[in-house]
Order: sequence, then structure tokens, then C-alpha cells
Amino acid sequence: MPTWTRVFIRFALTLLMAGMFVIALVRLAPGYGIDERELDARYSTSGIASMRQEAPSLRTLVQDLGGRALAGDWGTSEIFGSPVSQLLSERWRATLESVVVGMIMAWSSAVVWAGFGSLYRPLDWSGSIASLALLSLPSGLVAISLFLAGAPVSAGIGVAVFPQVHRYVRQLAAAAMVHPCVFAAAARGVGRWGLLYRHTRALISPQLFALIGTSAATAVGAAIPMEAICGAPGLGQLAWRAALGRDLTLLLPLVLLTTATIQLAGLASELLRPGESATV
Amino acid sequence: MTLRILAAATLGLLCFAALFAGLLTPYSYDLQDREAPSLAPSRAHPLGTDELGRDLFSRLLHGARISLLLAPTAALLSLLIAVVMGIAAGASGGIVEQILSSAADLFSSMPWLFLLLIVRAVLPLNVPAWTSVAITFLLLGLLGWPAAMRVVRASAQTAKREGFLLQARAMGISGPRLWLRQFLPTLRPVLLAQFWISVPIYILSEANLGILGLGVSEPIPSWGNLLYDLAGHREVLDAPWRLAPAVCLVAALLSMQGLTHSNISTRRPSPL
Repeated sequence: MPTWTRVFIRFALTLLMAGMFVIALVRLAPGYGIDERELDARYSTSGIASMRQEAPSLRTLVQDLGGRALAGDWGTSEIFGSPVSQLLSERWRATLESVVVGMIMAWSSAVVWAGFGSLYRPLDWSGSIASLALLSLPSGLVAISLFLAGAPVSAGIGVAVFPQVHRYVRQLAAAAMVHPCVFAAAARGVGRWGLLYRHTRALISPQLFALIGTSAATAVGAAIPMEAICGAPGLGQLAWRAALGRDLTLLLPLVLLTTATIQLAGLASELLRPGESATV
Repeated sequence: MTLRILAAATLGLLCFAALFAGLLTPYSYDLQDREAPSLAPSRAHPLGTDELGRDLFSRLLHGARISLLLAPTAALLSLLIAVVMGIAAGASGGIVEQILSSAADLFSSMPWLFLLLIVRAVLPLNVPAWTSVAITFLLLGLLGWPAAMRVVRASAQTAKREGFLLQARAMGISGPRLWLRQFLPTLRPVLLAQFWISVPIYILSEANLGILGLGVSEPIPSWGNLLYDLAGHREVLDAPWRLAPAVCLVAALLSMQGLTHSNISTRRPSPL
């Protein structure tokens, strides 16, 4: 089977499984089919039990939602009163922009910091301490700080992604610096910058591409608290408001959309990945 | 070494405060004094009170119990799932391995926070507080296994060709006994590392849910839901003592990171 076909089948199957998993999770959750009427003292126990029985079975739910999704109809949001596809199309650009800008900021600073850290010890120390400190900050706290400072959402996403990338690049660079070809180049008189740019970069590039998918997942996850707290009109804020309003019609497509985005980022990183040590 | 001692001491102090919260403060975490809402810090209330007149110091210490003691429980649950699935995948190979690896890929590509939001969204409105605590951490445990599973699977695949397992097989040991008795003890360092990596992640996840108002339900305190008040932004500047849960959370996480990533000061070889 050609590689492209296999990649497409894997992508489609993952999305299908994600959809099934989320629907099952929702249907089997203890609160499914329960609404505010249960808190109304006028309803008797038998009345509440009959309300619960009105909830569709897992099979009906899968058939209903799956059928509508295949037809391109995601339904209407209960809390916003607008078609889900319209809400998603209005907001995905803002989130995508924040995620992409945040990832570029995080990747560029982490790669440069960790790369030069492999040559200069104070930079290595400061970078490690910075990434440890940032790893210990909940995204929500970062979002509150950014909101008070008037910084954009992308900066918060960058802060969430930076430590993950920095730690990985630091480990890779440390391993690459003791590679025999780097020692041989140093013995030939290649300077620090030459070692870093020509040899270390070539050694670590293939592995770095593998991290794009994982950092995309971190960035998308960080977008929820950032957008919710900073009041930015993106998918993260939409998900938060949908969760607070128990709007499952909106939450299900949101999970599928984010899963597809993360999968696509992973696929892109596989396709863009250069060959192992091609220029070493 | 100094960093590790400092980290261990901070973590020890926080755990001590969490375990003996009832002795360190005279107030219950849910005791409301409607005559004393939103008080500033005083001798009676070292961190003041919230808008319902509850002592914030007491809530901070009891919140540490939830955050510091339940996150390791969730980490143990995810490790248990990872061990079972990793050994099954690594030992079986073939179609079983492919299915289990695909399941791990699926869970890795679904953003946790979205799934947690969904499940919190469908919980009954009148869910008991302790049920919300259990469900939050149970979910964290159920979602966090893929990374550890991949490590266990890789170890199992390598071990299949190693001498000690071949020798055990030659002695007639097979099936679960072979993997549980002979292989599992060799995984101890790997599992310990995975455990210490998972705990801060779960504490952070609970904190993020709490800040969004979707974590542990009231009146039970956790560091996460105590931070929910900070989302009111401007009040933080007027009442900086409300930052105490954030300070404790960051101190605990920094200590855990300091203990698990103590290689900052390790001298690395260099060709220069």
C-alpha cells in the first residue's frame, strides 16, 4: 500500500476512534441526560428517573452524531444559539494564529538558547533554570499574569511550549556534542560556532522535527486557559464556555477539530523531517 | 546537592503541613463566619478570610492534601495501566501490539484539557464534592498512561531477547509469571522516573481546571480551586496575600522538578 494511503487511513481511523471515544465518554458519564430540572423540588424521584430514561442510548447517539457529522451538519450550539460550523469557522483563525505565533516564539528562543547553552555554560544554567521555573507554572497563572501585563495570548502559549522544547533540545545538543564527528571537527580546528551550526545542527535536526506534533498538543491545550482568562475570542474560550454551559453539541466537534490539528501537525513533522545526519 | 536538599526540605514541609492541617489551624476548611467576610490577614486568620468568611490559611493547608496526596494516586493508576498495556504490547507483538500502540497514539493526540472539560461538563449539577475530587483525579490517571506505556513496551521488546528471560523460559517459567516475577522488577528505575514525572503534571492539570472553575467542587479546597478567585484579575493587586496558593503550588512543583531534574549542574563533556 502506498505511504500516502497508509498515512491517510491512519489519520482517518484516529479521528474516527477519537470521535467514538468522546461520544462514549459523554454517554457513560454519570451526569449524561441530567439537567437543571433535577434540582427542581416539584419533580418526584420517579419523574427524575423517567427524565433520565429519555436520554438516547450509546448506539443511537453514535448513529445520530456520526450521521450528522458525515453530512457536514454539526448541529446548533445550545448556549450560543448559532450553528456550530459557523462558530468554529469564526474562531479557529484566532486560535491558529496564537498557536502558530506562540510556537514560533517558543521554538526559536528554545533552540537558540539551548544551542548556545551547549557552548557556553552560563547560558546552559540560565536556560535550565528558566525552563524548570516555567514548567512549574500552571497555564492559568501565566494567563492571569499576561492579562495584567497586557501581553497577547500567543506569548502565554510560547511560555507553555518553551520548557518542553528547551529541555529536549538541550539533551539532544549535549548528546551531539560528544558525537565522534564533532570531536573530529574540533580536532581539525573548527570553531565553536562552526561546530554548532554545521555539525550539531545536522545531528539533531531529524529528532527535533519529531517534537513538533507533541509541542502542538501542548500549545493547543494551553490555548484554553489563555483564551478563557484573557478573554480572547478563540476555540479555547469557546471550549471553556461550552463546558461551563454543558453544551455537548459544541464540545464534541471542538475535540475532533483539535485532535485533527494535532494529528496534522504530527504528520507535517514526519513529512518535513530531513534524513538522518545527511550533512555530518 | 544543595538544590536537592532545599527541594526535599520544601516538599517535606508542605507535605507535613498537608498531613497535619487539622492540628496547625483551629478552623475547619468549610466553617463560615458570616460576620467576618473578606478580612485582611490578622493573628486569628493569617491569610484573612474569603467572601464567605472561611479561613484562607485553613483552606490552603487542607487544599494541599488534595493536590499533593491525590496526584500521586493518579500517577500510580496511570502507571498501573501503562505497565499492563506496555507488557501486553511488548510481550505479544504483532496485531496486539499494533492495536495497543494505536490506542496510545490516539490518547496522545487528544488534548487532555478538552477531555477533562467534557467530563466535568457532563457531571450532574448536584454532584457531591468528594465525587468530583475522585472523578477529576481518576480521569487524570486514565488519560496519562501513553508515555509510560511506550517506555514499558520498549523495555519489554528489548527484554524479550535478553539472557535472563531466555534463561527463565528455559527453566519452564512462562506466561504472566515470567513477566511479573522476572521482568517487572527490572522496570523499577524506569517506573520510578515516570512516576515523578507524572505527579507535577497532574498537579498542574488539576490547578488549570481549578483556575477555570471546573476542578474540585466547593466546599472542598484544592490549590486549583483556591486559584479560581485570582481569575478576578484586579483583586490580586489589592490583596496580594490571595496569591498564597499560587506560591505554595509553584514551590511544590519547583521542588518536584528540582528533585527529578537535578542534572542542571552536571558537568557535561565538550570537545572544546
